[in-house]
Amino acid sequence: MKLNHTTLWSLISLFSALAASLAMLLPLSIPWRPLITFWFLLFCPGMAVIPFFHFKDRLTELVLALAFSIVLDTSVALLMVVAKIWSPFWGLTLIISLSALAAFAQIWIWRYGSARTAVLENEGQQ
Amino acid sequence: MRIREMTAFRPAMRLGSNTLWQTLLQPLFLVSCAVALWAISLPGVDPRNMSDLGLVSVLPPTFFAALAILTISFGLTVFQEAVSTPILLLHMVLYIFMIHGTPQIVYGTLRYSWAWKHVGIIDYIQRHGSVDPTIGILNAYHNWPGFFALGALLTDASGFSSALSFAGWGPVFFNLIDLGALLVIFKALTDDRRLIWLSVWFFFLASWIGQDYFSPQAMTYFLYLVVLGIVLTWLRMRQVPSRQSIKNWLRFDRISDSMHTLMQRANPEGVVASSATPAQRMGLILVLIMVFFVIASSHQLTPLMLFSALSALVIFQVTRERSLPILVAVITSAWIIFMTVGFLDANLAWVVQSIGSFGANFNATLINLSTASAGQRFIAWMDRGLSAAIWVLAGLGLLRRVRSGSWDLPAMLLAVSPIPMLVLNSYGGEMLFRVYYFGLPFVAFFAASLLYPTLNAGHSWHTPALTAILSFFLLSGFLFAYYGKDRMYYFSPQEVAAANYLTQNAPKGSLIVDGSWDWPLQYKNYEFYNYLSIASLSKSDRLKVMNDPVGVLSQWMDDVPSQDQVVSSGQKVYIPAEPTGSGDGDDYPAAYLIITKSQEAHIEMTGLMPAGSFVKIEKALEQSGRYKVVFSNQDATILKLIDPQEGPSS
Repeated sequence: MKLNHTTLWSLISLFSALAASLAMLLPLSIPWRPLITFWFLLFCPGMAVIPFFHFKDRLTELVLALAFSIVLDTSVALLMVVAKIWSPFWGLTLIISLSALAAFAQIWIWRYGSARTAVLENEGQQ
Repeated sequence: MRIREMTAFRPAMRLGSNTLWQTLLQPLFLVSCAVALWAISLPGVDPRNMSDLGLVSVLPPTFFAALAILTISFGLTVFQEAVSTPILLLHMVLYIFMIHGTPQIVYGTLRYSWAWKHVGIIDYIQRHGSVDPTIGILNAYHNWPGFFALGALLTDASGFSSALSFAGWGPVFFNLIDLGALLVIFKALTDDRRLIWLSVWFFFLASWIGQDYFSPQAMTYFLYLVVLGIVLTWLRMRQVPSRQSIKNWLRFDRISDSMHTLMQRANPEGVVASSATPAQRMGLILVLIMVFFVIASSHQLTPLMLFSALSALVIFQVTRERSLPILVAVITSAWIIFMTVGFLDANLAWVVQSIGSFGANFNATLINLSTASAGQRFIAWMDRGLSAAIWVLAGLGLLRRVRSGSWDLPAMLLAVSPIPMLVLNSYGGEMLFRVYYFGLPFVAFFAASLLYPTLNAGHSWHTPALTAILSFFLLSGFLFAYYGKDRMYYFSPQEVAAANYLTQNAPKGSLIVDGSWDWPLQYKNYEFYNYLSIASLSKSDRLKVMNDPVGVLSQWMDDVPSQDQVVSSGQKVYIPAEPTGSGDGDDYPAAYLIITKSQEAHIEMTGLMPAGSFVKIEKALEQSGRYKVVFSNQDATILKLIDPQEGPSS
């Protein structure tokens, strides 16, 4: 199965979500924790979701991924502030979970789609 | 118009075919030179020596040489059709780092006092886990807390104790992400990549307003650009609507006919642009609803600008999503009605009063040149000149585009759509700046069109030469306009140390008097204190302080004033719900006066008070025997009222 760029994005999101979880849970040294957290929060939620739209333009995808990430992070943070249930740990956990879920869905679609294509190709050959 | 450009005949390049040298090695060599010159120019810069011309006055010639080389390189590179996108991107990214990273590298402290206040709101959320919409000071931020909630999440999740750790890089970050959004917009407006990149370049050369710092407006501006990029790229009308369908929409015959004629001229081929599939459209509208919610919860002005822009696009049939301005209006109204009651209670009167005051709202933005210092008068003329110049270039560019058959209706609409906001409000004396800023991407597009009006144009050697000349012209204005107030925006480490002293030593409920609000204030535990800025007082009260500093200030610093006194004297004092005085219940537990170098610079540059006023006040208080110096270094002094209950009354 050939790895397309959508799936690559999903894998990056998934690994970033894992790294952000580790950064949150383990006592990583200060220089690495902010880098991983900023990277994850500012890019990965969007990178996991935006490929669902199947835009062909990479620039549009990247900008929308960034915008979607900012919007999702702000919405989660705002909800916690307004509802007075502030918890950065649970907020980050929620965003990590949503991103991982979307990334898994992308990968599942890729695997299912590839497998289905292979079956159809085999049937066609027979 | 896109179809016209796509199918246009492209004449052969008169300069011959592009070589590896022209498209890769030359730009890389020039960019490397620019980076090297920039790197060697920074270590020797001492911001303490800035004059009223700002950062420009202390930057060495190598810095300007680096910018000049980058500008020439960009002019030569954008001209080459075969140049790869990463090379052009490299120029833009380097420009952003050079312009917006330099202050952070040279100063080492957070630039601009409002950015410190924004850090203070994030600090409040980190400590309280919520906001207080009824709080007496910096009230608007608690009613539109979206950006600050995000900032608090980023700070806490990253393990930082304060947003100060990263806020200084806000301008670099926001300009970089704006770059992406601008490219999406310009790609929707034209297929000529020279025009796309030159528009971006001109945007950054004319974006002197300084709303790109660590602030809600910087975040919502990016989202505003993204919304426009989505609408112009994916939610465009598939084809020019018929005369009858326009009539059904606008009702009036004459207006409908005029509109149809205009739209036909704007889109002679009838087919407008690519559009989204139904599934993409549905998903994009869901994303847009989330974006509208975040914009509405983060900033007061951006939703209005967005409403105006989307309304213009809907009325002129550029987009087929007629619900978009309605969605913005509903989400914004809902936020205002249900979430900003605390703000409206205190501010509704002046908001309503300023509606319709076009002249007053316009003039409120411009500084009073009769009182400003000579340097600031020069800066004011430079920023006004730069703004006028980019609009003049845009007018000429528009003429060239129209003559070549490209009407660019969406860009025209979006360039002028912010202007009606001038009627609504002065926005704290900043509305004209904001109108300029929100229309700037499209003004920059037309200005760039002057050089590249069509795919067939701009192939002679004149074009890169003219690009460089115009860029130098705009850049020289930009450097003065953008850095021109940095003598007051720069806070030395010594000033920050003084601010730290207060946050660590002043008891809760203390009064902090400052010469002006221009110092690193309110960034930590800000709600613990009461504030009074001498420069923010009415003119008569400022005179009183100047004539009798000991008597007047001692009276104010001695007792907590009643609400009536606060209003009548125009003091910017926050009265806590329960004063925590140590004496008879009416006293502040402690009262401090802080005077810093940047406060002195503020009154000198704006002419609010005579130069040296704060030094005189400080000396008078010291000599009175009623104050003691509790902190002092070369850039800041903090005086404390010794015994407030025995202070003389004037």
